[in-house]
Amino acid sequence: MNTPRELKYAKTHEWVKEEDGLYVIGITDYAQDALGSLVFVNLPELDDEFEAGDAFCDVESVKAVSDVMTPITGRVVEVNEALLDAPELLNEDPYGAWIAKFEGEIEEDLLDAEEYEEFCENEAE
Amino acid sequence: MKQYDLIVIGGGPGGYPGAAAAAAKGWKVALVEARDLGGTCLNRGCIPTKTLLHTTELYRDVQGELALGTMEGAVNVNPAALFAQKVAVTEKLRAGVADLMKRNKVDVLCGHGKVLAPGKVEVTSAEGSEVYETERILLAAGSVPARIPVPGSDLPGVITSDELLDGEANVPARLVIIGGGVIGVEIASVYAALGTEVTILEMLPKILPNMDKEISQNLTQILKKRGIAVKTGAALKEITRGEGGLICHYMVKEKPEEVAADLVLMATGRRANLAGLCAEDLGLEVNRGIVVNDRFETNVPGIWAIGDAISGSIQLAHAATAQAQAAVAYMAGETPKIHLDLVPACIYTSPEIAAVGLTEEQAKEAGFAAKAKKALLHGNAKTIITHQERSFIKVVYDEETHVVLGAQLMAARASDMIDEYAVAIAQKLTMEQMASLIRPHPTFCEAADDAFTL
Repeated sequence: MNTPRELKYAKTHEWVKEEDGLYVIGITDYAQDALGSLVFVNLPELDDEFEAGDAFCDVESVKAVSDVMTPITGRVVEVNEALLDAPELLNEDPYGAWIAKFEGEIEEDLLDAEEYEEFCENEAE
Repeated sequence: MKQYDLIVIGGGPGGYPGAAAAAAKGWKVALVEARDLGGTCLNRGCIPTKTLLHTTELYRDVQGELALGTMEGAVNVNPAALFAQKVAVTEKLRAGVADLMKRNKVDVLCGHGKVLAPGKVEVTSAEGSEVYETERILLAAGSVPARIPVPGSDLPGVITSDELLDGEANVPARLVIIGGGVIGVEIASVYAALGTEVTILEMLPKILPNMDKEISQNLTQILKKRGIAVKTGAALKEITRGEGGLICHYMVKEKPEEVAADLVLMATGRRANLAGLCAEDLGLEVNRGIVVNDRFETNVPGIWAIGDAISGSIQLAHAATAQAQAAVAYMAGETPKIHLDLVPACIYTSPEIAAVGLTEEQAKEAGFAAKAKKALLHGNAKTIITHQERSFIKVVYDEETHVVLGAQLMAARASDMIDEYAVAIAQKLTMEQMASLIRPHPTFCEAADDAFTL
């Protein structure tokens, strides 16, 4: 399992990166592996507003649909539309294939890489 | 001069059922049609496109089987024969309409109908003009394709669905479709299967802008996979003729871009067909269409209007039919028993798209505590057997009462499945009531078990 040190993680298996005052969100390697081959991504729209803990996107494998949650209360300012044509990017490059960029505040205790790895190990047991 | 109880102007899917409904009341009815019975739907719209789609989708299916190795050999579409088949289908249906009028003793008056005054209709044909007197008039004149007024929109090779569907086989190497609405995506599907390089230019941020967001996203993904270039947020500025053919100049995010074509289809909506419909001193109130009240009465006593020709029309054949039947009931002083506010909308892409009632967003805007239940058809046996693309059914319901409010389907045979959902909405049935039925297996429609189960 790949867990880049510089990122923050939510217990619902999203990663968050701060970039130019915005928060970039994607799903973790652990999440994509658990979901299996993704075939569709239901992206949010620009300017959609969410509260921390809301589902802002859903991803779909041939097995199931899973919500992707945001730990941020705020507004979507950019959406990675490349995922619409190539949802498999989430499997191939989970930390490169960001889903959306948010403007707002983190309102959830996020884990660092080490804590997240430990959290996943416990969850697997 | 002849005396009628009702003269209907327009012999399309609004006009002819209206005429038949009136005749069934024992009225003496005339139907005026300038072109062919059946109107746009039968001659230049729904029926020709579905005929073309039937063969091209079958061809796509066969190609899929060839790729699997379950079939062998060479298969090609013969466009000339396909368009001839389209003519055969429309002729057969037209004969059916003519027969329906005859059986109902409706006089079909061939020519252009014009309302001179309440109770007076002039019919003009090559043979001359004649004025007919009538108790009532129903305007069912339909709509015509609208071209967006950019420079070059009248160049040869820039056509609308009228020319495309009413003419001979025309299979260009490159087709640019202006407008990613229903007409645009269906025609794109036909031509992509015929091997044409197709580009859709849609001005809004997504194709099928009036549909549920997920339907637009899913269809965009599927069309692109089939080699169709989908450009959204693309505003057409000009069409010119250059060495490489017709050049469509458009702007995306304030950046100029262009795409070359051998044929350009303007699928940029339709407007009410009001040309020469009424004498100017009649004073008929018009606002992008004929203004009517909820009983389909115009501001001029004795004149009713329905279908694509009315203001705020939803431009669907079955809506026009229902409105015409309702209008005739109101004329007779009855209360129509049709749910006029519940109009299913279908798009015959592959997979098909069908919607009825409210989307989750619309339901929330309307003040419902709305939720959506989505069922995916990845595991549906028929969907797997027939190699369908990603398919889903979304049911919108009231969170408190569980009453069904709307449904959006993107699945094979969605257009045939949507009525079950319409019944649920019309009868205010709950998710639990809908889930309590036994549905046959294996079918596409059994996916409703999952869609209604909370």
